[in-house]
Amino acid sequence: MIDSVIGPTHFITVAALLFGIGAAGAIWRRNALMVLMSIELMLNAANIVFVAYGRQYGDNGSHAIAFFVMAIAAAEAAVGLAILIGIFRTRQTIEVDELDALRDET
Amino acid sequence: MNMLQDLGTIAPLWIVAIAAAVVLLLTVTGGKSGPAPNTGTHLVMVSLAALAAAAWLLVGHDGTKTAFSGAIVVDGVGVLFGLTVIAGAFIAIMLAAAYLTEHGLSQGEYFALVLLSTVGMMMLAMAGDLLTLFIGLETMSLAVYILAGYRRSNRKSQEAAFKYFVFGAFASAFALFGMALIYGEVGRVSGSPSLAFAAIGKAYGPGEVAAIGWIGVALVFGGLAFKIAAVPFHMWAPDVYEGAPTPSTGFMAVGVKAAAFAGLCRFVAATMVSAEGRTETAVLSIEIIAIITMVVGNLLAVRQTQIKRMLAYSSVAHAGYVLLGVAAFVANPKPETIQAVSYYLFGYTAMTLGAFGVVLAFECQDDRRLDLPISRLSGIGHRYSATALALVVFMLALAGIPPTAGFFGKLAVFSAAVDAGRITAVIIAVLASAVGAFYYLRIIVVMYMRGSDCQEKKVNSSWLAAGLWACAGLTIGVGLLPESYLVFAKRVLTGWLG
Repeated sequence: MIDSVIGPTHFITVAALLFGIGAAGAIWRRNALMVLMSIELMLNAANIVFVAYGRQYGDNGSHAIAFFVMAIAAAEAAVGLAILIGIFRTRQTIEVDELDALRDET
Repeated sequence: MNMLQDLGTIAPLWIVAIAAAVVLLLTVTGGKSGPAPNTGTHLVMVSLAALAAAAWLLVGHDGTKTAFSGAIVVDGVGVLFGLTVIAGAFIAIMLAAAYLTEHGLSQGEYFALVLLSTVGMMMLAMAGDLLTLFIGLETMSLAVYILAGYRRSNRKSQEAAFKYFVFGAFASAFALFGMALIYGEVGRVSGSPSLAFAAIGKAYGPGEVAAIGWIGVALVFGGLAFKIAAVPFHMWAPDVYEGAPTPSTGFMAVGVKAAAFAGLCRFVAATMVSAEGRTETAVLSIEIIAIITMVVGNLLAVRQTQIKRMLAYSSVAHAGYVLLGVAAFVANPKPETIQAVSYYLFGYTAMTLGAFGVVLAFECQDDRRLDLPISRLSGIGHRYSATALALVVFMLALAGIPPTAGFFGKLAVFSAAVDAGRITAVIIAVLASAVGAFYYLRIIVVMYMRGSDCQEKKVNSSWLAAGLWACAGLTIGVGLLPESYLVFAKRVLTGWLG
């Protein structure tokens, strides 16, 4: 039985790793598209946790939750890409470091 | 039949959502000249009418009603915070009508986005489980990201939208991961995993929740703390407030904050208030965040030269005062504390939107330099006496000087905290607001005491005038008659918390 070998702990570990990779990418990648992809990774890591727990405790509600999250992630990606296109049109770059018009005066 | 009842319960939500669709339709079918310059009073009217209808339904609401198997709960918290975000959206649309006309921007999309964001805010305030809370949070945020970047060829506006989007999506991902951990922990404790606040409350009550469950709580709290711009999650606020178009800034300063606080109240009521043996730790953590937030916000606001950045840090500081109320609520869970928090946020909505309305009236109209340094306000008091007087009212209210809503809001929140025994925190809060008074009063000094070398043109619009009058009226009215608000709040909060 595969169930006895792979338990919820494994799923949660994988999800935590994915989430960590996503968070690190969102912080350290300089390309805005990569930041966007990293954030998607974080959302999907949370999805894995939902589905893993739902499977362990026999709750099908977790599948519905995962679908809601996927829909929201898609909407978020659409808005994010639209903002990026606007930035690319005026600056010809989507490097995060180039966005420095707003800052504290010291 | 059941479905119809549910739809009746959430009528305020879909009325506003349908109005958003109607406004968009009117935009694309707007006249022979094509959809491009869709200016028109009818768009403003449809938006305001829908908001007024939703507010009317909420004011008449009685008792606690649930819809869709408890996903939506229309109770005291939902009504009070729902009315606050509707008031914010109502005035923001009036200010936006003036701003968009002045800058020749299209109006229909803007109003539709404000309305859709308001739907998300109300959903957040009426959430019965964490999934509804998350969907409401995202509905609200996605629309506000676009509003921040509404001047899409303007570099500052774009940058504000991008920063808000990246930080916001990052924070939402953390909140979602926290929800997943809570979901699993509720399953471990009670046998059936759930995101409903009722189930979470039962699972967190007896003190059997393991560390991973509390990590989940901390992550969700962090996600909401980002939206209210609490330190250390406030980094985005000054940049986004400065870069976003001024009506958007006002809207996000009041609506997003009020809605996130509603979600926060519901969340702490489910997880922390009932938790045996953990309440003191929770209160202390929230209190420390509150104190850091108000101190850092006030100290950084003093150094600002741009009035929008100053108001951004001021809104950070106000988030700290309200968080102190939330800490008091966890320590001493009484409906009166929620009443104080909602009263504070209602007054804050009026005075902050008013302040941004005045900024809108005087800021530089050149597309490349959309800013308003404090020094440029000098002498305005002599030249534009009515508008300047309105700004005086808003600044006094933000500083917390009687007889304005700002004073009574602080009084209510601080006395709730004293009731809960958090004396030290209240003393620090009072000292912090004394620092705050300095930079608010400085604006008044600049307006009246400096020479009148003012070359500024002022935006002339009846919508702007109406918005400023409404804000000033609410700021003073709610301040002079706190009883009428509190009686209403008491009525709708009856029976809350069982």
